[in-house]
Amino acid sequence: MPTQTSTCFFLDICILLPQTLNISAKACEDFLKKNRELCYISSSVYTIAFKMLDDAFDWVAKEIQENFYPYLQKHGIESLTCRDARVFEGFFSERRSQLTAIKSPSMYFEMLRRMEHWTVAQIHTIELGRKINVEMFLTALLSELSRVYESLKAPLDAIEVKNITPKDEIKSQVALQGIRKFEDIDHLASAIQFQFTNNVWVVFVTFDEKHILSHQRRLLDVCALHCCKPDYAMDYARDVSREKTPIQYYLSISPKSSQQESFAKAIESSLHVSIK
Amino acid sequence: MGVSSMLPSSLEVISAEKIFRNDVFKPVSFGFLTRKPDIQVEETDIASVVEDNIRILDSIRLPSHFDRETLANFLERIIREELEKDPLHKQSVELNKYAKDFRNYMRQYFDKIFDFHEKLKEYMSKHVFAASNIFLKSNFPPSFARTLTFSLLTECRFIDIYDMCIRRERLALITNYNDLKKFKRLCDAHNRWVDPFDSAINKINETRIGLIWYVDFTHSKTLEEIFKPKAFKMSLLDEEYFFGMLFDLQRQTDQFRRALTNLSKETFAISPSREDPTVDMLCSIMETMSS
Repeated sequence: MPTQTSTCFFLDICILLPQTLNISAKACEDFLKKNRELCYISSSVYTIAFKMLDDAFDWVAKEIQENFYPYLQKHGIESLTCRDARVFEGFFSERRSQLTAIKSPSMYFEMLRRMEHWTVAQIHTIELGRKINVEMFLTALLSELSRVYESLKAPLDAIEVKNITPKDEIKSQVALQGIRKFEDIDHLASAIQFQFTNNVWVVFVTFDEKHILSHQRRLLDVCALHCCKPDYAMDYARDVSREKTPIQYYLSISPKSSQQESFAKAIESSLHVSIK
Repeated sequence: MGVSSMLPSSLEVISAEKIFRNDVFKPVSFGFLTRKPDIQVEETDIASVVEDNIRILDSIRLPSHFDRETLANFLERIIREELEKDPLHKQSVELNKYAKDFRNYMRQYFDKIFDFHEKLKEYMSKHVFAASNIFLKSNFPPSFARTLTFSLLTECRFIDIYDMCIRRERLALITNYNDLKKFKRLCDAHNRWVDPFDSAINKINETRIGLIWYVDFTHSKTLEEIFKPKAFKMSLLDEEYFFGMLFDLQRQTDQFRRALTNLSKETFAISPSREDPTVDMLCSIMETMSS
């Protein structure tokens, strides 16, 4: 619970995962370095982030165990050198041809493509002239996967988790603002619930332009929730800290639009907090 | 990092072979002795490790074709053989004795502990390799590899954090070396934070080794097959018991990790870079799965 300030940050999953663009990675790093103590993740973000990570690990590990290893055994390949990358070409093309039987295989094609790129890069790291037993190579791949899995989990552990079960009424209000993904509805509703239960401003920090930031205006107007990229998060925090508390702010809106009336009603019935 | 760096330097540990508790992570509590310790490995040191391992054996379910006593004798014999030639165990015993008489051996302790921990992490990465190898040659669910390796790597993280903490404590200990009261107070403060972690790590170790032994013993028809490379089948195991142990390990590791995070948030806060191909691959797959 924030004590000295009336503002805190709720983070989206994307903020806690390594960024593709260096510029985004830098923005995240700077923001987290300066504000870690004020950052929280809702239990919904925490659960989904861990599930995503577990699912990704499991998929790659299973692919190695169930398909890759038997393929190499079947073809009598016992050892690998840095010049044997084409062995993988055969395996991945066979896997792709099996995927055509699936109804919508585009996601799996993309995942296989990523895995192919990775395994080929790994085989190229074998020192010239060194021959590695297939079993050893695949075991090393799995060990490497475990190392990265652990390192990706670490930043999630470093942020305090707020256990929040978002109320259905608040979730409906978030959905009404145009948010379509169930996970995003949970994350945003949790942030709103925390904001009005504790009467502190919450800034929801995300990179998600497509699903969240494109609805930024409506989320603010109706739900009084500020959403922004990490680049702007501190500016938002500074600005809202000059305003009244969230409850007072909402009470002071006059006249309220029908959507704001409906939101206030939802907060009152679900949290027993009057903002009408 | 890359696949080559994950290959063990020696090919010794590629199966469940030699996975037993060797109590190498004992020298964490500081104590005071009235007599100088003998830093040679003594019979009692080995006997206490054997005892720890027999306790693990007693805690797990065994296949009906093995008699518990025969198995205990078998384990005692191979553990003794291994410990006698294990340089890490010798160092552990030595450091443990320095730690027990910390005021007299503080310099020796600090001279050797960091190097010992580097070797210990190397040893644990062999266990990560061994657990991955069991998974590869099995039809076990990926949660088996994930949970086992995660608990090992969390232990490695503890070693790093422990080193970081004692580097900080070292200065205060050296400064107050001549003030016995203050020195003792500093040791007590160290023991207060480290002891709960030590006992939690012991529990995690026992559960993890118990799980590996259960899997390996169930797949061995004779004593000679124990700890030898083999294929593992889920159908030979009692699923309820297997998953019970796995969940137990996961719960203990999560609990331990939460406590560890409170001790050193900054160590956990470091996010890996997408320039690492494995990080990039795993993140891309996560993004694809959730899109």
